[in-house]
Amino acid sequence: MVEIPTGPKGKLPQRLTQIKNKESTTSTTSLSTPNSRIRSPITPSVDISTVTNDTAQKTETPTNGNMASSSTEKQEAQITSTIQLSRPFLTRQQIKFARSKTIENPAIYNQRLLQLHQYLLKICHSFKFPMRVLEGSMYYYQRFYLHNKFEKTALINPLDVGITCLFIVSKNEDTIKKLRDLLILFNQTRGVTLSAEQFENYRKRILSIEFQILETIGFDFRTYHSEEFLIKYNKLLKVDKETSYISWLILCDTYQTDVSLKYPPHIIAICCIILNNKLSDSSLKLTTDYQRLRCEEKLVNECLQDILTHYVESFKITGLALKFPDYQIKFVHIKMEFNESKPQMMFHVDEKQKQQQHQDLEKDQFFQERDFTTGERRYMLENQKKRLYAEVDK
Amino acid sequence: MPPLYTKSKKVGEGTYAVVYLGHHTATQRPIAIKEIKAGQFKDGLDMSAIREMKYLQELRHLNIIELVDVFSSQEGDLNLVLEYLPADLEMLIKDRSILFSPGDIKSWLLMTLRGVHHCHRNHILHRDLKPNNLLLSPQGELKLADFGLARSLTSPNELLTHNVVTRWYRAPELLFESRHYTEAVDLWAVGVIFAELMLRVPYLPGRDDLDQIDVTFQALGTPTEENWSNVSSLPNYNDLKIYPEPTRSELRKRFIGATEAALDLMCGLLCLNPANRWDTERALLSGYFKESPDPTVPVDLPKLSKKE
Ligand SMILES: Nc1ncnc2c1ncn2[C@@H]1O[C@H](COP(=O)(O)OP(=O)(O)OP(=O)(O)O)[C@@H](O)[C@H]1O
Repeated sequence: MVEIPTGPKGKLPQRLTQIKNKESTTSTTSLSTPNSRIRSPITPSVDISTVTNDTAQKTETPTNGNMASSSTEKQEAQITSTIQLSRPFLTRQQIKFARSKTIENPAIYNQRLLQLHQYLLKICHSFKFPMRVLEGSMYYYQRFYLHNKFEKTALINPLDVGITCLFIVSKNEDTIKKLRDLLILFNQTRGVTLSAEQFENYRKRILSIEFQILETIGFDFRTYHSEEFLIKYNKLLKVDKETSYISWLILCDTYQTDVSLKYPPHIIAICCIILNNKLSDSSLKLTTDYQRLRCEEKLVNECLQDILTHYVESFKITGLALKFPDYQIKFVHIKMEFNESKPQMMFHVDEKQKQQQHQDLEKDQFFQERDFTTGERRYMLENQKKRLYAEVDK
Repeated sequence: MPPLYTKSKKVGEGTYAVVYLGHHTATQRPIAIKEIKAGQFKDGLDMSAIREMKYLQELRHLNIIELVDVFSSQEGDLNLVLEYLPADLEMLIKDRSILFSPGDIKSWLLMTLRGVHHCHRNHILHRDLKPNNLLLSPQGELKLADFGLARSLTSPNELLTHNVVTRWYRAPELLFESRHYTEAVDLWAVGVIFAELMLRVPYLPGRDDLDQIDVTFQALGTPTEENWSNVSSLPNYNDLKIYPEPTRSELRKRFIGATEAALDLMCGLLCLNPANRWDTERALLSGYFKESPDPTVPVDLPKLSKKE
């Protein structure tokens, strides 16, 4: 039997998510529910024609005899259900596209990102968190702002999102601290004092942000630790400890960038080693080892280019600059040399291809605005893709 | 179209979740819906819930509980949809009306080891193996459940918490509060479960943490530098009564009816020194699984006599 809990009576959200895809048609059906709290049945199934890419947004018809028959007060309502597949890595174009919708002022976004990086770095030092906690926090934070509006209108302070990301990562990495202690330190770090009452409200706000972040990352808790690969590769390539230290500094600086959104951790690690090798003018025979290290050359080149750009454009704020202030010029040279030697990696996309890419992105529901307040939201890893399509095709 | 899942009665409650029975409408497959209590904790989403999602999303194996779906509802609750497994091994062990044949015990142990092997192959430690977390499907298949304490083993240098595994199933290195342990902690637990299946009572039922040390070493001998080098440098290695290791004939007397191969396997799993303890592969390839009787096929295994 279906149990219907009593809840406050109210109107169901009348919102419907339309499928913006040309080929697909959305059938909306209204339903009658006795109650605003549709608790059982849980996920009413769906009528959908097409799904593009990784998000299926569906309009549903929870036809349920039990509920309808037991109801006294009926309301017309529609419920949407979305299925979100998680995608851990995205391309440059995809990131650019997603940000074009969430970030109005990239300069301010970048400024905030670096500020946050400084704060979180301090907290990680104070709590003796391993570097992977910082890495993961910056990853979640940047993912958050691919799908949530960054500007003030969003009503969430980006720094609060940042500290909440760190809190989630510290749970996921088994280095959990009490939220209270974390927030006290965070406020100290940025010179904010709160009354007891304000603090309590702040704590509650953080918990509500937590859920929004979890939904944005699609409850995908897989972790990517580039530091592990860095250590292993350095060992494998017999780089001595002192020299490998610089590759570690470079790796730490990558947490200021978005490379972790684009490349798997082993690619990032090998790039740090390659750059270290170039900086120190030693001639490890690295290039030939890509195969053995399972690093795809095209990705390595892309990632190298990203890191080089960061050093050339923002050298002063990097950790490496603190130890080696005169390295900037080296990076400029390396970058020039790199650009000359690898013309094939500059993806030559002609206008037509560009347009096609843009159209594909427009259609890609992964990048549509997300709503975390209405309907039911199901989350799957991308290894469930087959299942998703099987379900939706029905 | 009918709803995807229906949710009916409440079947249980844990520290961080309420569990409901439901059905997948299309197939009428029964499912368990674990509704995470949100907003009730000082520290947000419970770590156990995170671990359960993290590991079960990736593990797929006949002997590991399947996480069918993860969704958040209109009201903002988080729900984990799991396959519905109404019984567990502890219930069977306690049901005095059921007799276990040697083939039954072998079958449960085999399924447990297969599940554990799959975890370990993926570098995941379960860290809470006990009869109560070995769930049984109506078809008799045994599945590891409750991954709320699981964790992946990454670098050997990382410090781990020793406060894991329910007391009676805790390996000696955990009793000594070692911060560097391995998959071997799970195999110890399997060894204790094996003994319990044969005895039908808990094998090492310590009353508290101190008593657990005593009970464990009284049964299996106190580890010393001779059989476990550097054991005396572990944090909690002090004030120990030195018990001798049990002789084979003492074990035969305690485990009446166990074959030599069964005792070999049990001793391999209950080896005090984690470095010498058998791993899943060695256990699965042991003579016990090669000698007769064959493990009972799951559908023919004993089921609970009375409906819960
Ligand atoms: N897959 C399942 N199938 C059937 N019943 C289940 C299932 N999972 C859990 N239950 C029931 O729900 C109860 C609560 O389960 P849950 O896993 O939330 O907590 P627990 O592991 O028993 O306790 P704790 O959360 O304190 O570790 C269980 O005791 C069991 O009776």
